[in-house]
Formats: sequence, C-alpha cells, structure tokens
Amino acid sequence: MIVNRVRGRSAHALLAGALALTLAPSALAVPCSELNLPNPIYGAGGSAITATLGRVATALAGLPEPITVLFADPGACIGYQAFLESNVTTTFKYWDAAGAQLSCDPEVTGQQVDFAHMGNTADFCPGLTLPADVGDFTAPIQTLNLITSVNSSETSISSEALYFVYGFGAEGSAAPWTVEANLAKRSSTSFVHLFLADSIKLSPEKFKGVQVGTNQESVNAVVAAAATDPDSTLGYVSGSAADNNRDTVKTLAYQHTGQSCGYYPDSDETSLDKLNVRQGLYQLWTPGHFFARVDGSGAAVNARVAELVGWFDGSVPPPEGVNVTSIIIESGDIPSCAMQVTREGVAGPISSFAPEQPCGCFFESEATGATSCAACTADADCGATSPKCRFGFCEAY
Amino acid sequence: MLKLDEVKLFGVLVSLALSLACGDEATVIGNAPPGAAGSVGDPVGAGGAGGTDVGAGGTAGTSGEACVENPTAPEQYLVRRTDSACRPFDNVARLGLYRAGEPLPEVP
Repeated sequence: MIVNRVRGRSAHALLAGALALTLAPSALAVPCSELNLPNPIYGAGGSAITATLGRVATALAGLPEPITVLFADPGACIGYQAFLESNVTTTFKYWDAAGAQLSCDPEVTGQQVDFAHMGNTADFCPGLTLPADVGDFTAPIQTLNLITSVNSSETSISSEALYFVYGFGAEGSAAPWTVEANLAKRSSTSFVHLFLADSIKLSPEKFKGVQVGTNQESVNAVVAAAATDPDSTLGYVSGSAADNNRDTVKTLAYQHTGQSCGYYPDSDETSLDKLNVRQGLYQLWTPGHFFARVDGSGAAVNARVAELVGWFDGSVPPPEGVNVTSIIIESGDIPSCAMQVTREGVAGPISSFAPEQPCGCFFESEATGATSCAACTADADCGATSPKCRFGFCEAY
Repeated sequence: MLKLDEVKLFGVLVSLALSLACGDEATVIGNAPPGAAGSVGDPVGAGGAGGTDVGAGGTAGTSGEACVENPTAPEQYLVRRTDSACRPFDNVARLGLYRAGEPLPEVP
C-alpha cells in the first residue's frame, strides 16, 4: 500500500523536518504560565478540532469555577509528537467567557501538555506509535470536506479525479483543476492530508499544489484564488472549517471509488444534517482521538483531562449549563451517539453501529432545527416504536 | 395458468417495480452521458438504476447494487438506499488520463 510504504521509509526525517520548520515560538505573545489562568488544561494537535474546542472552552471559561483550555495546533502529528515529548513550542490559543480567542506563549524550554488531539490514530503518523502509558480516547467524528469557491460551477469530484488533480497537477488533464497555484494542500503531517492521501491512494509526499498551514488557511487560499478563476480552486479541510465558511466556500459532493454518484456529507448541499456521514454513504469521515497519559487501569492521570474527555464522549455528565454534545454539533462535528455506522481504524471498512445511548434525534434537532422525532421528558411520553426518551427525544432504544 | 409471454411480462413488471423503487433513492442532480452508468465490467445490464438514477455516474455501479436497503458488507454502504441528493462525476468523460477498467497510472 502506497501510504504505508511512505510512512515507513521517511518517518522520522519527515517529522524532524516539519518540527524544525513549524515550531518557532511567537515573539509577541505572553507566556501562558504568567497569566495565572484558572484551572488550565494544555493540549496540542491538529487544527481540525480547534473550532470545536474553542466553543467548548468558551463555555468552560464561563463556569462559576472557570476552566481554561489552552490548545496549540501546529498540526496533528507534530502536536501529538510534542505531547509525547512534553515539548510544545508553538503559540497556544485560549478563549475567554465571551468567546474571544486569545494567545500566549509556551515555556521557553518547551511546554508540557496534558492531552493531544488528532483526527487519526497514533500509528497513522509517520514513525509514531501509542506508548503503553498513553490512552486513546474517543473524540467526535470529523469529516474531510473537499471545498471550492462558492462561485465555482463545479458540484462534485471523484476519488479518481482527486488522484489526477493532486498527483499530476497541471498535467493531470482533470479540468478545471489544472492550475497548481489554485490547489491548496497541507503538510504531510496534517491529519486531513494523510487521510485524503490514504483515501485516494496517493502518496502523501506527492501532492501538487500550494502548501498552507491550517484548515482556515486552506479556506483562505481557496477564497483568494477564486478572485481570478473560481472554477479551478480546490482544497480539503475539516467539516467544521467548511461549514463555518459556507459564505465563501462550498463543499463538493464526493464520489468514492465504487460509487456512481457523489454525495455531500449532508443530505444535500444546503443541509447540516450530516446524514450521509452518519449512514456511511459519504466516505471521508473518521472518528477523532484524544490522547492522554493513563494509569495502569487505563484512566487518564490528569483529572481535568479525564473530565474533558468524558464530557466529549458523553461518559461524564458535563458541568451544569454546558451542553458539550450540543456544542459539538453546532461546531460541525458529530458525536458518536449520532452515528449509525463506525469504521475500522482511520479509513477502514465501514460497518453498522448502535451507540449505547443514541442521540440521532437530538442531533437532527440541533443541527437542522427540526426533527420528525417526538419530543419527550420521560420514557412515558414515547410510543411503542420509539420507547426511550434520550436527550429530549424519543429514540428506538 | 400463465402463458410464457405472460410470465415474461410479469417478470418485466416485477423488475420495473424493483428498479423504480431503487430509483426513488438518491436524487441525482446534474447530467451524465447517456449510457454512462456502469459502463465497465457490469455483470447485469446496469444501464442505470431506473427512475431518477438513470444515467448516473460512470464507474462501477449496477442497478442491483444501487439500492441496498440494509447494508451488511462494507462495500454495500457505498450504494445504500438513500433519499439524499447526489451529484455524479463522470470519470470517463472528464478525466483525460483515466482509462476505465485499468489501474490508475503511477504518479511521477
């Protein structure tokens, strides 16, 4: 398999080079440790989760006993490696109770962080593994969206087209995406890059295009290129980044190998229901992962991280007034309780999934503002076909 | 007792009904070349799934595959029944280097 071959060959060299290029600390921000922020939790990883984490962090900052989430997002694999080595040297983002995104510097010698987040498993990163004292915890499902300008006349793209576009660039004969300057790409240590490479069977090191640093920068690159040639613009970003920029970019329907039609993550181009992800028709999605140091029983050593991870996966009730599941949905990600399918590993085979406490109705209500499910406050409010009241709606079990 | 022609007609009607039922799935938006559906390696007369799905795409779909009600195998999720909109991308017509039925060329 192409991706595995590349991973094995270039693992440490790739990460070492990327670290050297991207870990220069900002000279302007204030050291985080000097801010006396209340109950800090430090994390690092890719930018795919930043928007979601920022909204949750905003809510946590507004608690009577505030919690401050600080997150550095130099890229999935780089952030994860820095977590393992207790050596994050990039600027941290954090959020106040009003939702303002602020920044501060790591320790000069490198910041130890409490958790990492990636869209992928640890072994998906070149040369990295999951140490015995690090746990892999469930995080919200994330999609990879293929974006172009809202002014583009294109509506869909196939796996094969992406192979020619990103693999051959101007020589790919895949009009209109033949202007390499208008193809946004990410580094070979980015989750969305590794995930797309694996999905379309293209070596992650052989992508044509202009490299940018974050999901938002991909959006910005597409928007900038669209000023002269909107049809030729193309990028790939997390679903939350795509959904949060629907005024300037649109998601293309994606036709995977073996499909005869392209599908949106949602049931159509304007919806936000993520139906095709939740049912497995749209192929570019994967469960996210939190990583934290664990004890012998597999529990996170850091109590705040244990709570944070539990709030995200629904195993720990969130603080009063903070609906983490709702925030995840509003951000464009999908809680696992809303999924009807799961998949092996990062991009493995899809199979049926029955969440322990399904929240499909709640998801639809939150994401779209409407659901056909009956509202309820207790099981007694529900009928025989959907007898269980969950998250305010009658579910099948 | 049914005559042979009546049996054939019944079979056609059943096939048509199944086909139209599948056709009630994805709402295909956009144009695909006539006969593009399942043009390569199709085992069973896959000239589109009927209804709104006629002519969709051009890779490997068959009418039978295009309407799996309750998928169990991973590949069946690719073609499960849906009411979602879909937009076909015709690899044969749009990709100059694509050769249907052949492996994709190595990237230089």
